[in-house]
Amino acid sequence: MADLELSHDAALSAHRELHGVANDLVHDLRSAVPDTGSTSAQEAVDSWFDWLSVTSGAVAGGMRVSAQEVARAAEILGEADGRLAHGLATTGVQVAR
Amino acid sequence: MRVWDRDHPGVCDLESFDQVLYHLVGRVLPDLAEGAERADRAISTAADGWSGRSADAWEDTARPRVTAIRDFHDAAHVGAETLNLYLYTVASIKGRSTPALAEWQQTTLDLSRAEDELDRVRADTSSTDDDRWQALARVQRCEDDQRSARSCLDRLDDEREQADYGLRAGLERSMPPSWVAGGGTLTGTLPPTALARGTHDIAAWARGLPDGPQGDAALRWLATQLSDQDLDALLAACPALATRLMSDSNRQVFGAEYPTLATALGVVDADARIAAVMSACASMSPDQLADLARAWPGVVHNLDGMPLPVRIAASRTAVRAAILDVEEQIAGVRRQTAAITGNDPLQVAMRRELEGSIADLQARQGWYGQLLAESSDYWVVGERDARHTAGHQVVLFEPDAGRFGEVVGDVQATSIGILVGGTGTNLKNMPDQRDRASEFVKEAGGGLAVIAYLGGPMPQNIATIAPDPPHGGYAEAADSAYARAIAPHLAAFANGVRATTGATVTAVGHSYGGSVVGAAEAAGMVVDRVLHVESAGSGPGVSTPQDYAAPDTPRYVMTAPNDPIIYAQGMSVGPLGHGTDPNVLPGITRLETGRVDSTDPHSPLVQGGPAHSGVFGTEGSDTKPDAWQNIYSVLIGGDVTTWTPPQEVWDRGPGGELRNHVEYPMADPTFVPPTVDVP
Repeated sequence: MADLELSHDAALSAHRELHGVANDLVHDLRSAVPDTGSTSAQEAVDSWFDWLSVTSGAVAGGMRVSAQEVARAAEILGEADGRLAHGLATTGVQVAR
Repeated sequence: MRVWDRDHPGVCDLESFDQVLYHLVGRVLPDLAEGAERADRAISTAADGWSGRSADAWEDTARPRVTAIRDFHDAAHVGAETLNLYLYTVASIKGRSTPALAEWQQTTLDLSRAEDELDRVRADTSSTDDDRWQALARVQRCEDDQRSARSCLDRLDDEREQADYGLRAGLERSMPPSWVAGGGTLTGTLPPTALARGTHDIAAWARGLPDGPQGDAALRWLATQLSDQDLDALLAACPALATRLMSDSNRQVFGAEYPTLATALGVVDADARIAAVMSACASMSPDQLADLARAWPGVVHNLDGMPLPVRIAASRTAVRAAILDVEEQIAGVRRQTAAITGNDPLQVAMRRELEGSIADLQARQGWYGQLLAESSDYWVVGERDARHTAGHQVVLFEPDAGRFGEVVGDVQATSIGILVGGTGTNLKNMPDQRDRASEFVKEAGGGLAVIAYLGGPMPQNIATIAPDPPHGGYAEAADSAYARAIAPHLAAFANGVRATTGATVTAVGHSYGGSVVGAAEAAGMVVDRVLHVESAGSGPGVSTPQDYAAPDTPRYVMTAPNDPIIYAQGMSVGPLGHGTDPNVLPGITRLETGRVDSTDPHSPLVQGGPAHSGVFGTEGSDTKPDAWQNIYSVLIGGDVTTWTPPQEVWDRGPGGELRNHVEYPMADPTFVPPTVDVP
């Protein structure tokens, strides 16, 4: 088995930072689309601002998922460590008795 | 919106355009660039304090997300430049159009006055010829001036048209083709935060996409925005979307998005097509290949020359679509069953038959479900103790044509076997073929993967007379038509696997599968090793290795003593039979089938009817025969034991009569068979 290690602080720091990045990535500019004065150009510009807005949401979503994953990993490993410590302590008490 | 016209080519809300562009360049693009840097640092921070497989797995998914931000930034940058150029051009047109319009208006007014003057002079009886000539000349000068002013405005009109065209083309270039083909505004109806909110919101949007190419394109765009897990969850929630992704629509979009690959698909020769597909894939990043599997599963899931991981990912969508298809078939048969209400013998029989069909379809649906949900273990290259659990790895899924293939083991293994079953193999029992493959993979503990392969309908019985042409009138297992039909498919499949993986590929044909492998070799299959196991023949029409695409391929054969297959080997009459007896094919190495338990020299010989499948071991028993060990060694390379022919022994019976019998050397517990190395 490969070495297993997770710094809880580093994980939470990454979680916070990635969430912050995600919040800064979302830009919904659809209400600010300029009037081009051309029907065909307007369709293209509308579509482009739609794409920009939706894709910004998509990449932000990806960051949020990564943030949740690292936090969840820290939580799971912490829980496992706690349970294991508890189990070993109990065993130690039983052995002592 | 006020739209520009011939006299006003500079119409545009330049001020708001400038403001949004300023926001774009000053805020959005820096946020994206900075966001990617911050995310990169955050991932590195977490990765520095986190080790283990989960850390590797997390980093493997997180880094591509940062790459996605950078790609998005670059594309948005291209779009912003296009908008900036448009703004500059239209501002310039606007600046020049005002005086041009004024000039044209002035010249029009001048012309009108000159024409009035000409009319007046002509009507004036006191005017001279010189007066009339001068008035006419003035009109002509004014007409020239007006034409000149008009042409100046017309040039600005042309500039504006070109600017509009350039804007559309530039912006479309910066967006994914599937977004553009999805109608742009249609894809734009997805709320920006929906992709971050999870499957429910995305599914609600995707369900509402209209039927037709535009809706399909929008869905394909969506598929590229999701991770494999998210797409899986979406398709589980809305299986109908899998059918849409599998459809043949939007081929033009595919051509625009993957021009080299689209050209490769049109190559007729199978090997040349494999090379062209590989060349197209070589220029794609891992993310692009992943997008390909998500958005175009119907194009790539069975495509020879495509990397196996892409085929595996795309096949999940194919399987989901097939589940829905079977569900609809079941509903159709149920309606038919319900329509039969009478109880006369014919109706009862019909109802029973339909109920049987439903049961078959349900079984198939259950198997498809297992392919998606069931986990399976495989062993990683070079790490004997590293067992990985993953889903089924389907690399060929064409159930309507009876074709299926599944990799057991690590697709990066250095040795890959392709296991072709014999008579009776069909979609229903492919899990058994998989189990057979799994035994070899487990034994290897890494370094070996085996593909359980079915390239089309196989004979289902040895003696049954096949009812339908082209097999009609013959004992099914003797009919070579099945092998001939599968041959080109297996050839292309195996050649594709060998080319894309670089692994040492061994084609193993069991029973009728031996004839299939031989036919595939004759049809162009070139692999590193071929193994005939209790094989029906060297392939229809094959009499010498020169009939194969690669005569010098190392070939091995094993036939257990008294396996009834010996009555089929070498028997060829017209369409019946499977070519030369593989045991005597020039250059082939005949392997020992040996004893039932390779670890016990006192165990009985593998022989007779049970040996036909017994060479793979006995179900429920952990012991493996020598034959199995030899199959394994051919797959992975190393020593194999070779066949020692039996001795004919003559002696006298109790009454003194002369009698003979054969003695197999392996029946002697002290006999040690010779070995050769499989390089």
